[in-house]
Amino acid sequence: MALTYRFYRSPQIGTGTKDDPLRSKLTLYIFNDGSGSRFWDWVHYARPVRYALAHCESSTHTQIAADPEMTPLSGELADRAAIDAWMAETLQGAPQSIRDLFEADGFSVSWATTQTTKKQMLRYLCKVHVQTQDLERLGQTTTLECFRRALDSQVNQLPANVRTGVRDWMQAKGLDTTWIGGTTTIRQVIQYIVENIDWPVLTLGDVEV
Amino acid sequence: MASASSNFNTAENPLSEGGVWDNGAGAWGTVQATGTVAQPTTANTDSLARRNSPTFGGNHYAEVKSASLNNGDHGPCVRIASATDGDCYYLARGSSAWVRIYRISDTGSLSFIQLGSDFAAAANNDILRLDINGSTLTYFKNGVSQGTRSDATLSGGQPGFAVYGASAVTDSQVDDWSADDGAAGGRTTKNTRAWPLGVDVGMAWRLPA
Repeated sequence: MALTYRFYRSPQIGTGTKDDPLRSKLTLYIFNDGSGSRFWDWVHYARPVRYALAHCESSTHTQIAADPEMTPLSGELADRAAIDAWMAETLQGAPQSIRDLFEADGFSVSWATTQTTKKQMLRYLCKVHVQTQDLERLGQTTTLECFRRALDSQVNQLPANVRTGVRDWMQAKGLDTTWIGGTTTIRQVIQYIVENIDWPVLTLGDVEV
Repeated sequence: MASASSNFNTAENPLSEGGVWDNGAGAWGTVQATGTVAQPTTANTDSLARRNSPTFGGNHYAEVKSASLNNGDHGPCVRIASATDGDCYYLARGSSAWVRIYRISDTGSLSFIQLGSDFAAAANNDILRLDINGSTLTYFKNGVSQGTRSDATLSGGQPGFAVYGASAVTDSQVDDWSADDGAAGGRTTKNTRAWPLGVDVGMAWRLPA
């Protein structure tokens, strides 16, 4: 049986012990058994979600899609060329439910235009993931709270220590924070950080996004 | 450039070899050398040895021979944070017939964060290598790539290895550890990727106009 690719959003499961590590729920369906079945994902330190690219048999994709906690983001894609073709499509055709899911997970779609591609959206998702990974590396777990809040909540709704943490983190990166006021939204802050970093090649597995 | 190796041919507990190993960083237990292999000092304790000399660049590999595994796990580690902080990436061969890449968070206790899916089982005497290059982790078994994972959380540190014997210290033994940071051509991947948020790789922040 030929294996196919499919993008997913899955919950993160586990408690963090070795026997029950924090991991994608895809691990309940996909095993690296020598058949080539596998998946790649990104770790998000503020929200228990994993965005992933899976490569497995069509019957396994069917099982995954039947799980109400799993959200396929694409159809089955035969090969890398099909992945590239799917990523080149614009977001216009994407269901509103997917756009709503991104927003609920803390990934703004308000910046997207009618010409924004799925690849650009995936790249945006990756950038936000990497921001949380940077805060985790720096041990700024308090500041991660900013990424747990609803996108349209305001900076003045954040606890003082979180506001200070975000300011210090941005300033340490050489980013201007003087424009941020009490009514500035979390969406605006995250968007500003995404837009003002020169990002290198970003990948999900071997796929450049 | 930096490279190091050990065949654990001097019995000592904990492993030191003249002070080049930090043993039992953070919440990890210590490792001993038997004169032929390395194994945990205490059963049922996740144990870590971190090479502290020479200083390795952020992009490096570590590898060990999986000498014997009955009940537990073991494997090479990269980017181990410090002598007192056991944050790292850990390529674990488990006795339950899997190989996984974990991002270990050491905050007084160890949290295991699995990256992507399991790899196929390895066997005794397999050479297990974990290579980190920018944000790309590559697992090699006996010199052959088994796949990659992506994570940008940890940006620098030293190589080493971890061992865990569930019932007895002899449940998990490794041999012939080595590491290299590639400056001398010993790496199997090239330093081609740079992430914006790490401290040891190129940072390029575009300030707002």
